[in-house]
Amino acid sequence: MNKEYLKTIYVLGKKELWGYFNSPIAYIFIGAYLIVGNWLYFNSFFLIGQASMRDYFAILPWLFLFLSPAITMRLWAEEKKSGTIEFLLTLPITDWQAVLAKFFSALAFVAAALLLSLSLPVTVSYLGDLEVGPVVGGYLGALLLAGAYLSLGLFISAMTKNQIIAFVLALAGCFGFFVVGADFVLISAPQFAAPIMKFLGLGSHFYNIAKGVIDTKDLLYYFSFIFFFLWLNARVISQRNWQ
Amino acid sequence: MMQKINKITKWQKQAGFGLNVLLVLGVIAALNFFSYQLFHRFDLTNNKNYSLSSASKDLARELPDIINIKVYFSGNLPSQYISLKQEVLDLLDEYQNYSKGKIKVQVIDPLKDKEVLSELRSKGIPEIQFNVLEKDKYQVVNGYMGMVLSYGDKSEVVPVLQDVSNFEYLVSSDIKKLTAKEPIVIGTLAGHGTLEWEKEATKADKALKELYQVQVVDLKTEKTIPSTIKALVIAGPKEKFTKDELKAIDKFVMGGGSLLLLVDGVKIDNGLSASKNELGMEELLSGYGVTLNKDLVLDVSAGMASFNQGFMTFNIEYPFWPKVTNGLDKSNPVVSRLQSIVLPWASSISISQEVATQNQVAYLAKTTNRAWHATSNFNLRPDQVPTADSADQYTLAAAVQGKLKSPYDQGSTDKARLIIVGDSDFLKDGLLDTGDNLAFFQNMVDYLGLDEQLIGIRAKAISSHPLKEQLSDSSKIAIRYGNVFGITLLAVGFGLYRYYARRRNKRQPETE
Repeated sequence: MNKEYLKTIYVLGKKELWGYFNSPIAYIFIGAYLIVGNWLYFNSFFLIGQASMRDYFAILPWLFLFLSPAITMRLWAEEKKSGTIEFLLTLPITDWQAVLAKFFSALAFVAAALLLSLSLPVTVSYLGDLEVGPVVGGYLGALLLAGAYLSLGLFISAMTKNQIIAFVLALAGCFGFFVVGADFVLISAPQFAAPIMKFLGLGSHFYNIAKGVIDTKDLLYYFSFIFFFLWLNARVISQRNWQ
Repeated sequence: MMQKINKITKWQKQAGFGLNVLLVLGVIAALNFFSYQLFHRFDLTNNKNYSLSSASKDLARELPDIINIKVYFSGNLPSQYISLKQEVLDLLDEYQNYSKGKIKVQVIDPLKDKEVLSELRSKGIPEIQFNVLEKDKYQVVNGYMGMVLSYGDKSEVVPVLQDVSNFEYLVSSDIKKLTAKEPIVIGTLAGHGTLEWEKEATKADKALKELYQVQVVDLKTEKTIPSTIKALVIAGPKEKFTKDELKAIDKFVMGGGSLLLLVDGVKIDNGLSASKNELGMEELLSGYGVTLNKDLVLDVSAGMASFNQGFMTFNIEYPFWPKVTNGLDKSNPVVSRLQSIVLPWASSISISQEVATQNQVAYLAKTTNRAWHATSNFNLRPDQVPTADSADQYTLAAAVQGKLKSPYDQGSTDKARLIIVGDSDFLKDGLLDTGDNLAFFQNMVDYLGLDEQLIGIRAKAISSHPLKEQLSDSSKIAIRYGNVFGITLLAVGFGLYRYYARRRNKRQPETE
């Protein structure tokens, strides 16, 4: 992997990222995310009276569940529908570069949205004794979780021309992976499958990080998840290429 | 023919693709599997809530001999206990790592072996019933989640592992108990209208008995307090002490015993009427440089209490229940890691200058500087308002450590340890769960009965971070909507700016 290779990804990704900010979609997305997330958080904040962001990070995965498919749905589907994919893939770039550029630009966009939600920890630390560790963990976990959702959504978007289908399928897929390890699902799971389901659940790994414990197990799980779907994505793109 | 070849190559490609997917999945699965054997955790929480405290590490490092820990988890446990099991085993792993082989952990599925089952019965680990949803029906499943720690021929049993938050404390205190040369005895004073632990303060009683051997001392029948007792707890006396009884207490202190006094200056009876608590302890206490004032302290920072009026029940901040948050002494291990305690109907305490200069005195809990106090005609109604000129700061709990002289000429000691709290109600069931009251009590007993070491572990279970001050409704609204819409408007504003900037840039070439 040389410098040129990364530079191509960077240039492509940057173009994609500015593409978001040039369209109103970005602001609708960020606006919806901030209003809904902050609103739900402050609903109970003063009632509980605790200087903690725990509740925020409890809502976040559910919020991302809707928002990340909204970001990824158009990424491949639109290019395919409008035919620009032919142009993109005839550029002197590899499929991996195209996939990574799209993935990292989407992730950078989510990171920008998360950055704007930093007004919450700033406010809370002003009102009380906010522990920094779990907040750092929460944001890191949020980024990893978003990465996982995005990689799955991106892969699904590459399979279809229809954005709506891409959205719904990505939502269903993310939801499935998120809840499969949750306690309320595990209760009714068969005994032998429960540990595997717990391992597969994006949510159970997320809450582990969000409570302030960075465990190499959880990190590796996220990296594996993201890698797997990006790899599949690259494979799907390259197969279309032959036809 | 051509078509056939095409079909075959397509089929080959698809099969190859499927094989590739399986291969990648296999590698990922293997990597993740190994990551479960070899992992590292970075704990970002301030109290290191999810890793062992230094006290436990030291304890594990300095073990004199081998401790065997058997953990019993039956294989049929409902899935929601999987994370509990994981966390328990993770923490035990940490102990093992630090013990250099002195701690041996064995995980046993008791259902697999009949002999183990009868062993469990004899050890007192109960069979627990769980509801498991199976084939869309709730079924009752019997299982075990217990632990036995053994050291030589002694053993400590944890019948049910329920809560991981106090697990480290449980293990460390059990290890401490097992390896202690002799059990630590805490005395509780009976009679004199003191708190009836088994009726009024069952939770505090249980917490005390978990770690210590508790011995009840009745001065009506015993003339002296046995010196085997490390610390004597006098909680909530309501009747006068005789001089002989006070002398016995004094003798105990002069002999090196520690004293935990939880005494109300004003007693409140069930009908919410208040009267001064005449105990006759003034001489003894002033000999130790302490005065318990016969007053009730009210504070703007107060705990919530519920009141009935007709059919209505309402919860309000009750100024007679001072809530101490910032007034906790950050430098003292007893309270340094607590976030808040609520002391219902507490009296203030004064420390004499002489004792304060000679000894280590810690003002464990102080009210805000906007507190006031009632000294007579006690009116306990919740609608009390402070008068502007009476605002002051009061001490509600203090610790004295060092040199004390007997007020009854029974000698002196250099190693006195004494804590006085102007309240005993906080120990009662229903109030002990408020804030960090339980930890406050346990820390005080630990401080007096044990080394200060164990206190470090307990503070872990505490995760309460209350907001610093009461906010007015308007500032709450400002904070809320500032965060909800303010930031959003900022982001959208940036978007509009960009939009117009781009439009201008696009137009410019045309106008040129």
